[in-house]
Amino acid sequence: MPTLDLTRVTPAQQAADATELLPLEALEDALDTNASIAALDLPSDADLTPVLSALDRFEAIYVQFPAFVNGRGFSLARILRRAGFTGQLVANGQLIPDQFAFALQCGFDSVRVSDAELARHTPEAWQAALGEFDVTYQRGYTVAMGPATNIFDARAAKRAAGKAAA
Amino acid sequence: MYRYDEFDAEFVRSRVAQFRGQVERRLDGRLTEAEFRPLRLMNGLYLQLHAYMLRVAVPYGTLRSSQLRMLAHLAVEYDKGYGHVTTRQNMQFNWPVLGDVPDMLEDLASVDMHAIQTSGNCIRNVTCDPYAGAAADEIEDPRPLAELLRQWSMLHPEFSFLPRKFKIAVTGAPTHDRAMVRAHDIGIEVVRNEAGEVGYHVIVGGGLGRTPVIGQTLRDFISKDDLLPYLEATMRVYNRFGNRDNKYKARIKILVRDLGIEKFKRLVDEEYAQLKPSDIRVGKEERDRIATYFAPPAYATNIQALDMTRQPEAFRKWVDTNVVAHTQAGYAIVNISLKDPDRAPGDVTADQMRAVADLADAHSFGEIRTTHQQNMVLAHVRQDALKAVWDGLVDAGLEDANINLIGDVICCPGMDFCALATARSIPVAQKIAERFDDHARQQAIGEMQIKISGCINACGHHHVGHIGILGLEKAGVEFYQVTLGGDATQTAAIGDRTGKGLSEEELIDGIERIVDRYMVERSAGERFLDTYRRLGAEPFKEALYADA
Repeated sequence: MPTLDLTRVTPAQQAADATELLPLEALEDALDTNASIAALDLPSDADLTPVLSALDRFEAIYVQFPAFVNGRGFSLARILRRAGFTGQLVANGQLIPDQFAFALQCGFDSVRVSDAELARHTPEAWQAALGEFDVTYQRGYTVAMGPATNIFDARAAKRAAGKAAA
Repeated sequence: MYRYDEFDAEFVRSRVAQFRGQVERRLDGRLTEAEFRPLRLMNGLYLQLHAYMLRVAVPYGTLRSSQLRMLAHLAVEYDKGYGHVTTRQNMQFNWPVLGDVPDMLEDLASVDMHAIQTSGNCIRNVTCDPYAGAAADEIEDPRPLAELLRQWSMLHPEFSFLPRKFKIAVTGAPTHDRAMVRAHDIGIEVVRNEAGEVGYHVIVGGGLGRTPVIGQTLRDFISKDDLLPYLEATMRVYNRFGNRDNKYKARIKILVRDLGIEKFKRLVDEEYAQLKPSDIRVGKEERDRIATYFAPPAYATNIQALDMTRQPEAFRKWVDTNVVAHTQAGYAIVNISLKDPDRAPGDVTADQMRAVADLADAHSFGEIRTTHQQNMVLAHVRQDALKAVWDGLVDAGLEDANINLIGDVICCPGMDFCALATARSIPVAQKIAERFDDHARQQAIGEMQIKISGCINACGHHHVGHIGILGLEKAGVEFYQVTLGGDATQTAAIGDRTGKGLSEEELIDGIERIVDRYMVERSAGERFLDTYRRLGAEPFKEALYADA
């Protein structure tokens, strides 16, 4: 299946066609070898225990979004990043442009949708979605491409600057 | 009252622009209705039976007079001249046109308002005790916390596509819960621990709807510093493990019930142990900044006591029913009833909104509250101004003296407006109000909360009504089921089902017989709820079905 990544990383770092994703059922066998795993296909309701204990083995993890209203994958991204995963993290499936910033804010590097979906929403809509907000209220969820300023931190910085000036 | 700083203003402006773009993409077809639906819901826009409905957020039920005037403006410009106060303290407009909605949102933004997260499977507008900051029984004004939660929950990147809607309520008065904290996904009570430190009691898994559940304690005490990290851990557990296959099993109450509170607590604690609270915390300086907006107003002293003996009888009755004690000597809390028997409960016209805004400016520091009982409150009225306030309310047709009495019915819009409803609810509320329209009789009956829902989703909170009424439909015929003994307060209880459904006519007669039975059986000082608890359901069931 041809797919397109909408990504803020360089194309060279993009992983894999859908056919190259390692299904979760094959994870145990793959971990028994010493090779690194190019891309894991991770359902959003998976038990994360075996994944979390082998994070340095994955070059990329593709988290499934079975429907755009299913936001479970956002929490998975937070958990994987918190556990120290530094490889490519891709939100894979039924996302819409209005979720692009959320995905990056939660720790995804990119979103992968089908060509048809990309064409229907238009690439312009996806790009525009990143520019809609410069600020976010949630500490720890800023992202340079989208909401880059945390409001609480910005207020604290203003207070500190005010005190320094006084 | 909170005022937006540059960041809040920028955020809401961005949201208006984003929504304008979403409407455009819907109209040019790039967004399907299936895609647009959750996006518009997340901005308070429903498609109802007859038209779109916009639900405007009234965060923690607090309004400045200029904001209420803006709501009046919206009612006139974009609706049919009135608005509707909801059971979650918001105000909704039943007749806007889709193309106008971005302009309505822009108007709202000009007075620090929005419609963000008044619907959808996200963290909803936070509700609160309507007497906050004025009640003698509160430990601390809960509104600074409610405002912090409003900000923290706004377009949360991780928690905007939850399994189901998520409602949070807060109260600063745990001994007199007026915010229904035990009937919310998360309820928060301000409490003091043994060391005298003020923090929060976190309750989880309450809710009404198809499966009514009273919330349970998740954490006895969490410090102010650690509340947001703790809530984030709780939300993450829910977002991961909440049911996404069946919307009727998707609320957090079902997850808590299925896992058991102990296992759920353990999952939250494990998640909480993994996260770094310092990354999430909002510090004391910022919390203090928010709190300064809710500092007590500049009260006058030496206010002359009102000589009630020389006042008109209608005024005295109104004071007895609608006015309650204030924490500050010389002041009073005034409840404004939106339960005129001729209108739908909670409806308020643009002229009435303006009249209330004027009264608030003249007599209550320019501040108005909306209540989950679908009324309004002027929280800080000088006792020597009560007569002037009443005169103003009489002029506006808002002088109904029925707060907490049988005429103060809570009611969802029902089949008259709602696409989900299975029966009419507004006409039932009106018939009850007519049947008991004699004020002396209402007074004699005393506190009595009747709550009506027009379908099983329970927006009218019937499960926690002293008398609850649920409207259903079978083979094209509407009928009503009655529950008794529900309670929305700190002694929360789900009402007991009585038995088979009744026609509207049988229902009104049956309720009257229940009330008559109570009047015969009650001991001195007992409310209906107390008598019911003492005697049990039998005598009242018997009364309800006496005719059947």
